Amino acid sequence: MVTKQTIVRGGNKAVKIVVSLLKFIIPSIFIMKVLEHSGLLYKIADFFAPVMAFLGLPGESALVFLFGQVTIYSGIATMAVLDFTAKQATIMSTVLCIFHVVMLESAVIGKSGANALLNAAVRFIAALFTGLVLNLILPGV
Amino acid sequence: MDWSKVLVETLSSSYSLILKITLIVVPLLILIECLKDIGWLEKIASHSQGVTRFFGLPGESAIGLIVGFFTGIVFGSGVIMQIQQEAKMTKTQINTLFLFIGICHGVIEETVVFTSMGANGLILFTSRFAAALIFTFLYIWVQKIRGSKGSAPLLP
Repeated sequence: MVTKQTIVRGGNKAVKIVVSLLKFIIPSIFIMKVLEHSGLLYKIADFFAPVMAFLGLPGESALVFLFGQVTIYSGIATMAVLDFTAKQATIMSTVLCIFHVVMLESAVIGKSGANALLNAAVRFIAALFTGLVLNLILPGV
Repeated sequence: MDWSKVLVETLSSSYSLILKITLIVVPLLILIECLKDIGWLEKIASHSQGVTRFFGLPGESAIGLIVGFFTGIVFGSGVIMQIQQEAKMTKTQINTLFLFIGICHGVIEETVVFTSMGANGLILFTSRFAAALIFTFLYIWVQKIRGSKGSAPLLP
């Protein structure tokens, strides 16, 4: 049954999410802006460009992958600062959806009795594999 | 470096992104809570026992799979731990279950939010689902081969 409590519970969760958005989105965007304006972003991008090219992504998208390990919304914030084509946005989102916040999620998974390391490793491989395949089969750049 | 520019851009980007995500996520979370309370997830789970058999899992685990799939790892693992107390699953079965929802979880929230970030939601969801199926079956297959050879399961 949907009661007032249902809405209140959903609303409470939503408020928690918004508070965590404030806590994670602002610092993530701040760091990205500092990197961008200091020119460091372009050095990082050049460094990762050869690897990320396999997934059809620009070098700086390595940062999305990295920030996405803090919270998924930190990754999203990083994505919002960078420029992606439609194809790149789809690949980046898929890769991030498969492999994000793995330290925390694997800990939860491990506590439930599964092999956390196996889980994290397979997710990593699955993310790269899916990104690679999408880059090959999706039209556009 | 122009710090005032950094600050202004940080605030304006943060403001628009937080507003956008809030407007999407708040109604979505309330909707998910409603779906839980209507018993919609249980209804889907009761139709999904064929899926769990497909994975070599007990029928009771369907609700864990469905909850994890639609809402997320944290809530899903809570449900799975409850199931585990009644239907003792083997380590391989637990690993199978978590490999699937590890790759493919919280699909409502994540698909909608990433679509708002410019991704193609249909491709995102389909490829994630396909990856979860492929890698879960790969694990089951490897375990079967090792089992038939009489060797210990890969990573206990």
